[in-house]
Order: sequence, then C-alpha cells, then structure tokens
Amino acid sequence: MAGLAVLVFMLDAFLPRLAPRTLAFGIVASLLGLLVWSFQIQPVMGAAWSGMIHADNLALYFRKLCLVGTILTLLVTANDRSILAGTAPAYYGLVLLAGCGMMLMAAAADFIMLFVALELVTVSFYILTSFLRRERSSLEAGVKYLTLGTLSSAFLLLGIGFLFAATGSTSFDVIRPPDDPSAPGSGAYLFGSMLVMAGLAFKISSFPFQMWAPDVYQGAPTPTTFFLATGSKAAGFAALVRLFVEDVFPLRDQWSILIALFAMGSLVYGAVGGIHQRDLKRLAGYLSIASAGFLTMGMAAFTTMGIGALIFYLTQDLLSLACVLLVVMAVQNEQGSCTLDALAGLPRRSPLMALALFLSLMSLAGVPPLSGAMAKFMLFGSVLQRAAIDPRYYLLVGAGLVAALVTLYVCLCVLKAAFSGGDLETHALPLSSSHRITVAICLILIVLLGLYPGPLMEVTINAVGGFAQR
Amino acid sequence: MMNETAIFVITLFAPLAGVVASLVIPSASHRVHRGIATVTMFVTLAGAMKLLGLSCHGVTGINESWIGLIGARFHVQADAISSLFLMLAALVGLTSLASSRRIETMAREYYLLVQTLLSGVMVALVAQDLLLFYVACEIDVLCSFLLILCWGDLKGTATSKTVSYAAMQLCLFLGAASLLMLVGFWTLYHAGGRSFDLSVLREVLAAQPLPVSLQAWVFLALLIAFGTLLSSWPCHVWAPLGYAAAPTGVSVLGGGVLKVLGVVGLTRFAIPLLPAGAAQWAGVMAVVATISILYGGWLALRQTDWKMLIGYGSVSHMGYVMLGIASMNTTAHVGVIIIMLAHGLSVALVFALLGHAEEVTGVRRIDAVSGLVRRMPFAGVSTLLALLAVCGLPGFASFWGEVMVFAGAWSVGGMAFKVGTIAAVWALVLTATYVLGGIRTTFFGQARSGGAEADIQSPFFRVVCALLLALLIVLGVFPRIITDGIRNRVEEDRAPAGVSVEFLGDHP
Repeated sequence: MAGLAVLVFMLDAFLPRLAPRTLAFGIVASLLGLLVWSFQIQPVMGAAWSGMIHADNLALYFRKLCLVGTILTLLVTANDRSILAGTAPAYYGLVLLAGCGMMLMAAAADFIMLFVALELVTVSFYILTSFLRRERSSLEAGVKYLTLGTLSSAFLLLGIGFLFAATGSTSFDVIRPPDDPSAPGSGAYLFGSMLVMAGLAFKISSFPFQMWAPDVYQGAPTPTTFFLATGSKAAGFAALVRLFVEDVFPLRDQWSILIALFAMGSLVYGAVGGIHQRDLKRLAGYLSIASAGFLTMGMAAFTTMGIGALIFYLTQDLLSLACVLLVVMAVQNEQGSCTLDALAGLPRRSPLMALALFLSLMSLAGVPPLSGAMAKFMLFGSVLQRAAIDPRYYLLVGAGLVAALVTLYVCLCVLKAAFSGGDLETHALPLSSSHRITVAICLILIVLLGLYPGPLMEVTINAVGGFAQR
Repeated sequence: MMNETAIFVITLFAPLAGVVASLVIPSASHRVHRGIATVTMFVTLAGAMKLLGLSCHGVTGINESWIGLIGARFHVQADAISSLFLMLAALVGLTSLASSRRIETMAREYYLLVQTLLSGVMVALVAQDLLLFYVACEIDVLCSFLLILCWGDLKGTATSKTVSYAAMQLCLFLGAASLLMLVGFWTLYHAGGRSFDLSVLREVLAAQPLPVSLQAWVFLALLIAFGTLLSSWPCHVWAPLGYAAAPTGVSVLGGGVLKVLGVVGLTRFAIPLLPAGAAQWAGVMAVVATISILYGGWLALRQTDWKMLIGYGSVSHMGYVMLGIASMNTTAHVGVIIIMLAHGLSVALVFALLGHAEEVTGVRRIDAVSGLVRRMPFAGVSTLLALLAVCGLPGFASFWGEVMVFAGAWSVGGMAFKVGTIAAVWALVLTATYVLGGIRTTFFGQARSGGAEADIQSPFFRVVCALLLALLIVLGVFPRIITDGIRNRVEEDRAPAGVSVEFLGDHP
C-alpha cells in the first residue's frame, strides 16, 4: 500500500520526460507487477496502522479490484486522443492518486480514514472530470461534480461529527447503535448515520442522490467516466459493505427497508431514464444508476451470497463497461461525438468493435451466457431467498425484473442503431493494436466469467465470509 | 469404440469447434465458412444418430460439476425423447444450411452465429439442470436477435413493421420470459435442497412438496415463460413476425427447433416438479390452447404472405401442443412429442422451400406468384408434400401426434377439455383451408414467367428435402418405431412425481 503511494509520487515527479503513451504502458506494467504482488499478501485480522485500516479479505479483494480498475482506466486513457493531445502525464498521476484513495477507502477502519480517503478520490475527480479545459461540456461536468461532491462531503463530515458526539469515537470497532432508543445520544447517532449514508449514496450514485450521474458522465472525458462508474462506485460500495457488515449500522428493520427503497428507486429511475437517450455516455450514466440499484439489491438481501454477488457484479462491471467505453471511444476518436447516429453501420466498420458492443451491452443488460447475467442471477437469487422469509422483498424482486427488462430494451435500442443503417461505402475504424487487445481480453473474460463463474464467485464470497456470519 | 461421454461432447460441441475453425481461418470466402458449417453439422448428425442408438439401451449422459458454489451442474442426458430431439436439431440444422446459400455478406459471422445457436439449442434440448437450460435458451435468443437484425429482410411483405422492430420484439418477449423463468427456477432452488439439478430437485420435492399455493404461483411464472417460448396465445406475437423477418436459414431453425424448448421446459421441468401447481392451471391451459388454435388459424387464414401464414399456422399448432400438455396423461404427452418432431421437420422444410421460391421469384406474397409446380417441379412437389404434412394429413407423422392429443385430451373429461378437443378437430379443417388455398394460388395455375433453371439445383438441398420428406412419411406410416420408446420415457418422467396428477384421469 505504502509502496503504491510512493510509486505514485515518484512517477509524478518524472512525468514530463516521457512520451505519453509509453509512459501509460510503463505505469500499467508496474501496476500489473503490484497486482501480482498483492496476491502474495496474507489477510490480517483486526485493524492496522494504529487502527486506521484493515487488511482483511474484503480489503485485499477490493485492493485488487481497484488496481484492475486503475489499470483499465490507464489503458482506456492511452487510446483517448483528446487526452493524449493535452497534458496526459498529469492525467495519469491523478488517476493513480484517485486509485490510491479508492484502495484506502475500501480498507478504512475509521471514519477519519474513510473521510480522508474519500476526499483524496473526490478531489482527484474534480480535476479529472474537468480535465479538457477547452471543452465546455467537460467544464460543466466538472462544476456539477464539484458542487454536488462538496455537498456530499459536507454531509459525510457532519454525519461523522454527530456520530462522534453520540459515541465519543470514530473507530468502526467502537461505534455501535445505542441499545436503548431513549438513551441520550441515540438521536445524534441516528441523524449522523443518516448523513453518512447520504454522503456515501452520492458516491455510488444511488437514488435519491443520483441526479449528477448522467450529466457528469456525459461531459467528463471518457476515461474519467469509466473510472467514476467502476472504481469510484466500487470504493463507495466497499465502504458501505464494511459499515453494514461490521455492525456500525445494523442492517435490520428500518435500515434494510431504507436500503431496499434506495434500491427500488435507483432501479426504476436508472432504467426508465435510460429510454430514448441518444448520447452513449449519458446512457452509461443511467445504466450506472440502474446497476447501483441492482447492487443495492444484494445489500438489501444481506446474505453472504448477496454481498458476494454484489462484489462479483462490481468486478465484472469493470470489464463490460470498459468494453462499452472503448467502443464509444473508437467512434468518438473518429467522429468526435458518441451519439447513437455515430454508431450506425458499426459491423461493417469494425466487426470486432461491433461484437464487443453487442456482448458488453448484453452483459450489462444481464443476458446469459455473459458475466453480467451470472451476477444478476446471483443477486436475484439472494433477494428471493430473503423474500421467502419476508414477502415484502417480492416488491424488490418485481422492481428488479421490471428494471432488467427495461435495461434490456435500452441496450437493444443501442444495438439496433449500431447494427442497422449506415452508409454502404464505409471505411474501417482506425484502431491501435493496444485498443484491440484490451477489447479482446475484456471480451474473453466476459464470456469466460459468464460460462464458468464458479472460481471468482468463490473468491468474492470468501472476501465477505471472513466476518459476515449470516 | 468411443465412450459415451466423448460422443456426447462431440455431438453438442462440434458446431462450436466449427466456430473456432471459422475464426482461425483467415479466408473471407463464404464457401469456406459454409463448408466448415456443413462438416460440423454432419458430425453432429452422426453423433446424434449414435446417441439415438445408444438411448435404445438405456439412458446415457454427462454429469459434471459446473458452478459448484450454487450446485449447478453440467448435466445432460440422452433418453428416448431428448435423443430424438437432438436428431431433429441436427436435421433442421442441415436444412438451415441448405437454405442459406444466398448469404454472402459477412458470411463468416453468419455461419458463426448459426453454429453457436445450434450448439445452444442442443445443449438446452438435453439439459437436466435448470440453470444450464436457462443459459442455453438465452444463447439462442441472442443469436437469433443478431441474425434477424443483420441479415433479416421484410421487403415485399404486407407488414409495415421493420426488421429491427421484429428483432427487438422477439428479444424482449423472450427476455421477459427468461426473467420469469429465472424467478421460478430460484424459488425451486431454495425450496428443493439448494440444487438446480433435475434429479435432485425431483427427489427433494417428492419428499417434501411445496405448499400448493406456492406451487401454483411458480407454475404460473414458468407457464408464461415456456408458453412464450412455445409462442402460444397470448404471448405469440413475436413468432410470426420474427420468423417472417428472419433470413430463411433462421426461420428454419426458429420454426423447427426453438419452439421445442418450450415443450421441453414444460414437460421436463415444470410439470414433474410442480404437479399440484400444474393441476391447478390445467383448465386454464386448455382454454388458452383452444384460443391459440382458433385465433392462430383465423389469423393464418387472413395472411397474404407465405412466411407469415406458416408463422400463424405454427401458433395454431402450438395450441394442439398446449392442449396435449394440459391433458397431463401419457397418451397426450406422447402425442405432443410426435407433433413437435413432425412440426419441426415439416415447418423447417416448408420455410426452406418457400425461401428458395422467394429467392427465385423475388416476391413472397401468396397471390403474386402462380404455377410454381410447373416452373420448378422438384421444389414445387416437395413444398406441396411438406405443406400437406403441416396440415396433418394421414400418412404423415403429425397426423398420429394430433390423433393422440385428441384422444388424450378427450379422456380428461371436463368442459374445457371437451370443448378444446372439438375445436381442435374442427381447426384441422381451418388448417386445410388456408394451406390448400395458398397452394392453389401459388403452385397451380398459369406460370406467369418462364425459366426452367428456377428449380433447386444443389444436390445437397435436394438430398436434404428428400430425407426430411422420407422421414415424415416413414414416421407417418410406421409411428410405432418411435412411439414405444417415447411412451416408456414419458411414463418414467411422470412416475415418481405423478401422484397428484392421477385424478385428472389417466388412460395410457
């Protein structure tokens, strides 16, 4: 962990001397080294760094996940012309910083650590979203993200303050709900925990804090969109999972109803909002809200399997989204826009990109035999298991089914636009070999995880199994 | 002597090997990829024949762990019924290839998708695991969607819909069906000892049956899901338009084998696992079947386009199938299997031959062409015979299936079944009306334009046509060669869990 932070700054210092693309691949190579190394680390129970961070299975898994996310983001960046044209090395540095923050966020064992890590991520993203200074859309996205991001940070900080006032500590080990609802401080605890929830719900773009996502996703540079939708969201979920699993907020009664409501809201808003969107990145924003809903479903079920499925979903989402955005970028590099019309005739322009778009969108929509389907399958299974005990959960299942169907429709609309129409005399899309290879690897993994998800699923469930007893 | 597992793997995955080969070979010529597909299809056919032979001596299969965590297994089994369906799939696959000669743009991708689709269908046909069946079904939906979207054509038809509309409609209907299937399967999983394996589920659910009300709900979900796959009224709208829009090779596959998946789902999974739930819905199923038969037939009567006519006619035939399934006795179920086999062969053949006629004449409206028998003797006569087989004329296989369904349904008693059976018998007249009407216009009468080269030239296509027709006639004349095997299998399927269905009246 410390090694990575040092590496980030070392690289930051040496940045200007190298060609942007070479540098990107250099960083990717060293991150891959770190990834391999991170498999050697054994989980440690209890908090390290004077009670600030965890190094248990969950933290270790999310560390790998964030590393993969960072690697993919850099690979995406290395193919984005608009960023390569600017001061790309600064962009890489910020991505690395944000990635570092995400890992810390997933590992935090204390609210102070959580807040610092979250700010590290958010501040990096303020710059990453508005990185293309000459483009109005990027600046607009930056301002929106800045305004709402600051607001959510304020929520979080205030919530932490209330929790401290109620319990006298910021450590996850110490903060517990008061046994007696009439005891002094229980009001402050409740209010504080609500505010913390609000702050984190912003990060995962869950209903009712989802408004920013479509705008920011649309305006931000494509790699930023990708990193927001995967890394940032994964870190937010990691923090939420930890808070709930460690009983800082007991996920019973009202809380689980609240979470279920969050899930239903996100599902419906994301799916319905995605209908008739013409801009692919904006559509990705809505799909991201819907997927936050699916993920929250797993949390609402709150079984080991549900949370394991949640982590599995986050993992495979990285691949599917990377694929979609790489296709978007291929089109954007050539035509300068990423509306549905720009996609027309894709199969003739590049069969690989057409196949990638098809498979990754179907994976996002949750159609077997692709990885997204397996994740959704497990999520539904865990909620149905819960519903057998508490029939109210059937409502959640219903909302999930509707959202899944509408998402399928939305994705089919995109495919329809891509696969039909287009001029007959078309020219091939210009693609670099790294672009092709990244897409091909993602595709193979999507299909592989869809057909044979067992091993990874076991790993994700182990990541939770360490301390979730239910 | 190869062992059974190897034969199984080769049969099911030969098309996938073809996919890999097509991907590796750099040639863009459509002949090369077509050749690869043909080779794999013959390998599959040979494997299916071998499995059919083996299944006479008992059940063979593969049972390996797939996703250990949730107890999903790669469990496939060739018994008397499923190996016949495998044969059907292989034959229909050949027909599909024979009728895909005109595909020249993006041929590699076309044959890739067709082969993947066929592999998926075959896995679903022999699947003994709920999750495996679900995944395999969805592979087929995805492939059909792409095939229709990229190679489909609705030019020259009466409908104002577009190809992409048809493809999306198909995918959304089947997607909704699969979501319902998913909910039903998970409920069974949680109730049935945390397994998706059919044999485990049957044992557990026979020992501790689900409460009847829950069974009814789960069965309803599965009924809607499989009813959609089967294209039974009121979830039939995707099928006629989808198959009309599809390229001929895909209409062949869709009409020929994809609908079988619905039957497999109902008879292999839904009814044996949820006998009490099925009993509750039997009356409703009979009513739905009756409407499907009459409404489908009536719509077919009004079509001006051959592919749409066959599509709606097929909806009507799926009504017979639904009626047979609803009867829940051995006679009717054997009839259902025979109808499915005969329907698959005859509809595949009809689609292929009509596709040929359309390629030659450039139109597909029934009244736009006439005198086809004179212009293309071989194709014309084959089409005639295939259409008569679709009608269920005595002497063709479907006749026996229909008779058995009528007998089975009538023996159930009860208003819904009696009315349904009477309606079904009269609907045969309806079928004859629209099919013969179409035949009279298109195949007889004055040949408007010349051209003796219009007939089928490819020996491959001719052999396939002759083979399918011969099979239809042989099965029509000697149905016993398959009925005994099917009957034993149906009785075995229904035996352990069939206790609560008995009161519906069982006269094997």
